[in-house]
Amino acid sequence: MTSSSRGWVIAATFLIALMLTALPLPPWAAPWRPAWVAMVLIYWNLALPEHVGLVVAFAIGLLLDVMLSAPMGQNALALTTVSFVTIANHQRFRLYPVGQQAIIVGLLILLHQLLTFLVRQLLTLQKPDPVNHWFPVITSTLLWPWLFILLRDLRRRAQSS
Amino acid sequence: MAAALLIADQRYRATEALRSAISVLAYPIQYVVSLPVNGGRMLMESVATRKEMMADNERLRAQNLLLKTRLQKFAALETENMRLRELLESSIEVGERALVADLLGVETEPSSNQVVLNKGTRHGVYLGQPVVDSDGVTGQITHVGPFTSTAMLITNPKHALPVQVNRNGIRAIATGGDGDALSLSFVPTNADIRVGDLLISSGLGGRFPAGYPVGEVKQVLRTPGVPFAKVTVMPSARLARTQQVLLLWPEEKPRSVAGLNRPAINAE
Repeated sequence: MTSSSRGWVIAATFLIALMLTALPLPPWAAPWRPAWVAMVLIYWNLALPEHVGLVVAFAIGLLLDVMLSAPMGQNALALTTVSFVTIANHQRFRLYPVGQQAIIVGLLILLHQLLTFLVRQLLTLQKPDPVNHWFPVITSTLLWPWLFILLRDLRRRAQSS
Repeated sequence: MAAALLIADQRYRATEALRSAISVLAYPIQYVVSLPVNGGRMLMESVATRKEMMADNERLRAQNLLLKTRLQKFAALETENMRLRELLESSIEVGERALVADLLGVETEPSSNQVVLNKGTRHGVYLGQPVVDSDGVTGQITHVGPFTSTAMLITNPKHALPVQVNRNGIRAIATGGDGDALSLSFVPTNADIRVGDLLISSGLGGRFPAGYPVGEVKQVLRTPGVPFAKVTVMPSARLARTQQVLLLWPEEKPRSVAGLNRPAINAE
């Protein structure tokens, strides 16, 4: 695999994840939006932990904070923590079947949502919705197998070319 | 490190420069995302039937006539007002420089009462700048990047706006945090505020220019034994549906080019 084509694939997937996050949804669907960026980050942490690590997680988090006008550092903190847990266990998580992986990813997204919930609860006046805030955990878990297969094929194609 | 950033942002507003720099990176993403949203609107406009267009045209023409007639009266009233104020030896500024900004069709933090505008420091936008739409005060700028800026709506719980009752000049502070409505803080129970009163910006905070409509009093609750009345206000501005807003420069007189506020009645 040439490192430049791999770099492009990683950048493109993150870009698409960011776009999906910024895409406006109707009010009933908005709370169900999966944590796209966190999921893509978890995938690359599992696949290429030596290339996509904590620094990337932090940078992407900051970009997300600015894009969503969130308190600066909220998403950076959440994504860096998720990334740390993933990389620390990546050899174990990689061996799990996809279904079991989805549950692990669900737990990681739960951690992510818990951190953003705490930050917003403690630091901002706009209290997060105590029910809606946890919906992404469900959608992310359900979507993980598909995202995993999609990204794996993308990576293999980039590898073989 | 992220925690340090969080504290720095909340306590000292120290991260504004960093935010502004990163917003350059975020802009292309937001721009691309908003394309289909804005494009869809354009498509809807271009496939509108001839009949709809004619009806629309008719309606706008009627509205234009109505507004122009009123404007003529306002012009007379404005000069009269100026003359009277001159007699009283106090002056009032009428009209500010204004710039139209489009809302980017992108998501922000859930239920955070913020919008992203497609104008930034390159267009002269500054922190704390007042934002209005055709019906009233919308909010103020909280973050500025070179190409984009973020505005906090008046319904945000962090937002407070000095207002006065148009009918009798009673002053109050309108704060957000009540869903789609505003509430007035510290209004004595005996204050003369009634349902249906129009609230306008008082200009006392020095940030918003005076005289822009803010909202209409929807409910006044006076509980015995409680020193302050609970006043609920519906904002006049169409906060949820608006697509375009006006950025104001209260310090500057309108330029002839962007003279949106100065009526050009003599031209016709």
